Amino acid sequence: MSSEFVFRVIKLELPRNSLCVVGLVIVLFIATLGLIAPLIAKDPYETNMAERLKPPSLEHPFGTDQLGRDLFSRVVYGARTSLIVAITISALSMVIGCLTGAISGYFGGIIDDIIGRIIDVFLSIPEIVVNIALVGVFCVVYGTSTWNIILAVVFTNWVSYARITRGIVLSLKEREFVLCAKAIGAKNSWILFKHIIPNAIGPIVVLATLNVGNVIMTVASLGFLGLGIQPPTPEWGQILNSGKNYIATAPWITFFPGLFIALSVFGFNLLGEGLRDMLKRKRVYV
Amino acid sequence: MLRYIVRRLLQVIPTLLGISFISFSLLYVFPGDPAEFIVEARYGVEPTQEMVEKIRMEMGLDKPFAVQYFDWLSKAIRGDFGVSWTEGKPVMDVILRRLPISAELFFATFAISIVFALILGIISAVYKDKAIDHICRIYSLLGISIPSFWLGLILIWVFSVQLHLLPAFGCCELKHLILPVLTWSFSFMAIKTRFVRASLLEELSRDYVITARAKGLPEKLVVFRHALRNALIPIITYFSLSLHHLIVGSIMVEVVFSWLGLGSLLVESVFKRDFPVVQALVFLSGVLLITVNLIVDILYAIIDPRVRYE
Repeated sequence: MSSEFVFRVIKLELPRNSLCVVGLVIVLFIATLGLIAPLIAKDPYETNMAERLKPPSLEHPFGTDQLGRDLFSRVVYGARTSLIVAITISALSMVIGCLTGAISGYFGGIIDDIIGRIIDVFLSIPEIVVNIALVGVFCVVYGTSTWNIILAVVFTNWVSYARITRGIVLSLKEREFVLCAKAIGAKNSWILFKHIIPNAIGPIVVLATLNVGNVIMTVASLGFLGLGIQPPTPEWGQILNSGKNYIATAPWITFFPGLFIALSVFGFNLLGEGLRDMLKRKRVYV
Repeated sequence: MLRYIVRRLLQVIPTLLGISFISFSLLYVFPGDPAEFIVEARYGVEPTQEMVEKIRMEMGLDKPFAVQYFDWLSKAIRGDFGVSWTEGKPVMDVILRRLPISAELFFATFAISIVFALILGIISAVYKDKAIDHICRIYSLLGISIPSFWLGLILIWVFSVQLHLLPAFGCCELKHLILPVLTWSFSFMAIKTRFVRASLLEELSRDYVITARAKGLPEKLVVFRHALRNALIPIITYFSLSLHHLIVGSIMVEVVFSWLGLGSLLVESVFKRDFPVVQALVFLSGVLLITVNLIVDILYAIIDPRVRYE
């Protein structure tokens, strides 16, 4: 079961799985929105105090915020921010997590003991608590740049990848094809990258899809607490944070960004769940 | 049995050390001089050399990292997390004052979620692939996708702003509890419902269920007397291990509804740079999770002797 096989299964089976299709359509919709933002939206930074807190209208489909900025443009550009940040976090976590997990499972012994303990520690602290604390510290130390948010979330997020990869590697390393490769004198790195990791690709694809959804939620939560990506960069959680002060007079500031957070997390969850069902049925899922 | 318990207790020690190390390091990366900051935060005056020195000596900030860490750890084990930088009171007092408020919200949500998740999960599993099952499954996906802080604000808008039925803020009366608990349970229940459904379905596919049905037992008895009883063990474990989700929820919901519990204490303390409080909360949340894990594991070993020999 190579990685090509996994992707072939996905390609063939996906159109038949309605959950997956709906999820994929939602994800593509959000991605397209972010991609063509400059074509459909106005300048998300342009303030206009005469137009502040205006309800949705033809000119401003989602209304305007407390600084008179067009909310539709901010939400559309927010899709860009959310997706870029979430995918960066997931990708970084995947690289770090899969590597440590694979090394830990493959070499065993003291390395595995140490990495296993570290994974245990991270699994037993609530992620969001550490994220909040870390963002707080990072902000004091290095200022509030987007990279600090990314690093703070990666700090806890890599663990799920490490745990899943470690488990798969442990179950694979005693299998015949690995022993065979060892017997003909293949190097450890070759076995790891050519034989073991490709076999773990199914569960990792599923995890990564679900993870992007989770990370979008985490970043939005931090934004809502005022600890996420800082204004004026448009980000959904942070728009909600400013909207909560105007909930009585301008509920649209709260309504639309939240809807988009829910929609995109829902899309990634549907897609991930669908992929998992599909791969399980095809017995690709270890 | 005793050997198993001792072994599990020993395994917990390195994890606890790891958690304490992460929690403590948070303070140590504080830029500049914490002593200067404390003087400013506590007395609201420009720090003088003399005051800074005094605070530094008092708090042991002049010692090397390892010494400070072990000082902190040995006190933390006894429940002493030092003094809050901004309030000047012991951290533990600050936390204990906020604890009942969080606990009230927590137990209300937990109780309601368990009851409804069980009902929805059982309905969903018994009527698998029927319309009602699809509704429950869509709900459980929606529940984890809808941000609780958004749902909370929408509920405030509907019930407080538009209908004037329920208060948006405030605490400690039943009417104040309704909206936060509703918000929180919506997402918390969703995850549980899925798990109840999955566990029950797994039990329903086993041979003894086929036997029970074959001998003509009414479906009600098959589900409630046979399958559900067996499914309850993983369900109870899962519920007790779900503190993770509850802690996340508590932070967001408390902030939305301005509840002065531990969740909002964490966020406040981060903003006020009150790092001893942050440290204590990170450490204690880890200790809480580990303790619950441990208790569940030991109970499990008592119920199911096979676990002990693994």
